[in-house]
Amino acid sequence: MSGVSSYPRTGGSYISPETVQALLAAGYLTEEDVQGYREEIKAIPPSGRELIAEIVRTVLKDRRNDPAYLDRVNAGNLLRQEGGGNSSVTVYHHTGAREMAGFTYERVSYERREDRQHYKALRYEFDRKERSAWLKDIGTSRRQELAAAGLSQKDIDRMAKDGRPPQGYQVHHRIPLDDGGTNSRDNFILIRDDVEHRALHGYYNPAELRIRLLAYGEKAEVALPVPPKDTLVYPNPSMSYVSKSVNYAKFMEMFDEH
Amino acid sequence: MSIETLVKAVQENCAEYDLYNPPAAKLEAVTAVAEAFEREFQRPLPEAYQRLLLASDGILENGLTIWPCAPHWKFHESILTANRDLRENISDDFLYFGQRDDSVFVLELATGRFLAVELNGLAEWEEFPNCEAMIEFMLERALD
Repeated sequence: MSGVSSYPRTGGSYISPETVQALLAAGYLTEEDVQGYREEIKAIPPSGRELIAEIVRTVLKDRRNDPAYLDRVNAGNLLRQEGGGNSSVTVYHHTGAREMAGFTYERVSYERREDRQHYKALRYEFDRKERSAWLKDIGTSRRQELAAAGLSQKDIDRMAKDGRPPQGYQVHHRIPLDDGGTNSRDNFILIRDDVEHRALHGYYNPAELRIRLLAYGEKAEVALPVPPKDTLVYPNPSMSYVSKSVNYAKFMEMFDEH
Repeated sequence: MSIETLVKAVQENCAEYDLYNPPAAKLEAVTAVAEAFEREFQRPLPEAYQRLLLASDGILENGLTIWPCAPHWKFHESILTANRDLRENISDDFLYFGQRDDSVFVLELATGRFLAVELNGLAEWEEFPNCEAMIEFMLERALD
């Protein structure tokens, strides 16, 4: 717990009394950690989701541009998973922390494509051709799987005929095009926009934070959250691949120093 | 094609499958959300985006989401709440006007450029001369 618990003393940044109180209650802080804060602590803590936002914002505010710290967070996620401690990925959404069952952290030696024209061409190839072709293909040949995942017959018919996803779903690259990802069909998954896709990307995803710091052609090892390989669509309740709300403490584990 | 023509084509596609087509937003609602947007984000809501809202109060088609004046039916977010969340969760370097698959369509505040940006790593992959061209591009993708 050293990363989070030492931060109020060492970071020089402000953490509200409510947050300190909640961290104490959750066992992230000790009395020693918060000497000088106790007299400011108020009686009523904010809600769990406000806590997550404030804690992570505070913890990451000064560190989102620190590649060494982000490397440790990514390494920690991989270590926990490889040690059997992670069977899913925990992500942040504005409605609270969520656990994405079936997702795993994949050790990816991420290299941002140096050839940006090639990258742009891949994006257009996906947008204008491969995406629609894949949706038509699975709408025709994998109908039972899609229906079992909860898509309606009308949605599946439309996928097969027009190559369009159901309303509220998007097509996600399992391995991003900006790295070595391709437009091969096994690199696509249909994912619900809100909450799963939104929660997957973003500011609190340590892999993406690290990737943002890479120059084109530069490389770093990251713990990339990747969807389960054996489903075409997420969530997929028939395979128990669903996201659910979890306690913020579980989400915070990944930001501890390792 | 104009924004209005493209919106009409999107609506016809949705109608063919009896999918939800948002109604046009009322002028008062667009005026109110534009004022709230400028007050909160210190930038005007682009005129092209307001035109889109006056043709359809949000777009939800073919992986494209363009946010309405206020949440309604399948839209859980408005242009205001989507920007609040994305500016906190993705980057406050941008204002957000649409999302399709792994990409968001944004105004980069530091440069004034309208861009298509991949969420992962914020990789820029297209630049548009103005907001109108960006919205037309988004709607054309919804028609692909």
